[in-house]
Amino acid sequence: MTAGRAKLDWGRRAVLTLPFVWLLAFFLLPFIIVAAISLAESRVGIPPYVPLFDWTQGGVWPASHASLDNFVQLFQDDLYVDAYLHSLSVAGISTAICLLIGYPMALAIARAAPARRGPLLMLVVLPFWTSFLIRVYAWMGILKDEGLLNSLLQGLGLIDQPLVILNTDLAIYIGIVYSYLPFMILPLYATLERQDPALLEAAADLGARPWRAFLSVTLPLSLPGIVAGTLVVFIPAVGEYVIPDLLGGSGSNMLGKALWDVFAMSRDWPTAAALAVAMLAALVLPLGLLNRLQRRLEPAEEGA
Amino acid sequence: MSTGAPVIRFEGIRKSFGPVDAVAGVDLDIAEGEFFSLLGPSGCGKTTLLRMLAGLEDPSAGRIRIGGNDVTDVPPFARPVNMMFQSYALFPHMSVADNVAFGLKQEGRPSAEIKTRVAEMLDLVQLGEFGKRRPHQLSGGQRQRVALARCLVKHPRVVLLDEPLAALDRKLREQTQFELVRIQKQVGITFVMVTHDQEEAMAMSTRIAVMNKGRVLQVGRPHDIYEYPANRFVADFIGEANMFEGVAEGEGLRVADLECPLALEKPLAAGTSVVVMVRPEKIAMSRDGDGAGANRFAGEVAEIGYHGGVSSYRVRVGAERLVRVTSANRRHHTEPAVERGDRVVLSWHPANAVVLP
Repeated sequence: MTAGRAKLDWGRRAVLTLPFVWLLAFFLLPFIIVAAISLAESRVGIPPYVPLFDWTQGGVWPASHASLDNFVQLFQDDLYVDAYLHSLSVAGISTAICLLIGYPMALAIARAAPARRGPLLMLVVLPFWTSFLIRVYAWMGILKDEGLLNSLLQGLGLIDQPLVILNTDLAIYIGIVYSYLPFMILPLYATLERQDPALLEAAADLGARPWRAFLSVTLPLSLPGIVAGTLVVFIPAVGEYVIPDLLGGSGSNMLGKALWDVFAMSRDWPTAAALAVAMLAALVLPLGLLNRLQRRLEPAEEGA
Repeated sequence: MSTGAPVIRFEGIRKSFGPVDAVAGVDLDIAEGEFFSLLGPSGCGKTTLLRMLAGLEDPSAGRIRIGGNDVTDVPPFARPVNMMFQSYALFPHMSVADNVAFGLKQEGRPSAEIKTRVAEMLDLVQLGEFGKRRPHQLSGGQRQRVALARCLVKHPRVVLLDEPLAALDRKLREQTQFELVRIQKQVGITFVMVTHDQEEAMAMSTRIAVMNKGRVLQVGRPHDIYEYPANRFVADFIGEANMFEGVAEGEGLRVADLECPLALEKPLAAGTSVVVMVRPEKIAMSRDGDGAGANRFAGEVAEIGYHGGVSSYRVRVGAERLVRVTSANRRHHTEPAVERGDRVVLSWHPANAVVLP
């Protein structure tokens, strides 16, 4: 018995090793490099930062140039603090809108006849057949002053002047909600579809009107899906670069864009690295909390 | 068993799913205080009928009355019935006490009242200590009792049970049969149970409706249904039955593959074709006597099944017919024991046979 168990454990370990090594090589290692650069000092040259450790001075220990100056600088510069807060709020609001639109859609698909669920899910995923970048460009064509939307509204005589949407925050919201909606719908659908329909019938049987039954049964049981969908939308939305750059115009100040500006335009690798590390650190905290919430919800679900 | 006005009345109830008639015209009265069973093979429409009573399905035609009121168009949340689902459908994110309290909260009862009634109900089903547990922390039998408590706590006119014992193992199932009957008597509420298990239905019910293909074939007390089935389906579905199909001739019944005619309790008009049904335990089997005369048939024991308390035999009579016989093993040693291949004589009194159309 113990031998069999040991064998099983060994097999499991072998299977787990590959993804573990993968994460180590392509995730942790690059992150350590970025974190190291964030502690370095910027300079003009190749690479564009002063190496952390200086071996030319002689002696057993190298001289260290590591400092937290870059981080201090981040917090002192309103531009970065603004970008940070703005990114969080844009991502937060977009996630909330995704949830509000995505939940009814996921629920409708989960409650549809089994034969229809496949095609409906297909429709949700269909946009992925086209490149993300092209779809965002398409939104430029729709939203610009002489674009599809304004031509349509003017043609119908609803407005005289074109609505200015492109290069505003509204365009960013539209872009993010449009792009990330499927990522909200899929995990929500997964939890809603698994729910035993008898639970709702039981709620109705015990006197709950449909709306009460939804609030006291469907909604709490779909919390794991809400948490998962929120994470999958919120995290990439905070660091989103393409959408604010193309739809938000030059005025939009979001983290991803700021990061790119510092990294590519100013060639200030250490500040860019510090920005990236700060973003990650600030995301890990709410993430960890959500994760714990999700874990707390899961055992309850198994009991169904 | 109360004989008051019917608490439930089905009037010409039909339910079609597309081209299929799941329930094809049912008229049925269930009296106050009954433990009533809907019994039939899977797909016979019994569960659909129960769900229509709960309001979870709408009948395609007909009316349903509960306590005299037409509830056909009343939504499930406003009906004075509560259902125990086959899967129990306990809310996994709520504690046992919250599950039981759910229905009372929907009624907007004061929390003090909810608390006492939930505690009383949990005591009734012997789960007083388990209020704080989650459903997934309970055994199957405990979950079943939570589901029952959740139904009963609202004091409904009728409790509906959908295969209440199907998820339990055999030993627990027998124990729970008695427990359910005890609780039903104690609370005095009408129970309507759906089951495909005829033994369960017989052991628990005051009356049974046997269903097949969307119709009610017979309604009666367990004893009536077993001893006096109204037709071949009921005779065959409830318990085991030997069927002799033949044509009335003189005083008896001529059966194609039997040498002698069967004796009938009352003679039939000559030429009537009927089926005579005899239950296996009504047939006497002996190794003495000859195989001649009315209702005496010689045969050979083809199979023996030993079940402990009883043994069942299949006796070959004539070329092809296997007659089922059961007999109780009253003594430690049945002397001398009947063995496979033994020649035996079967007989029964005509009064113990039932003539079916």
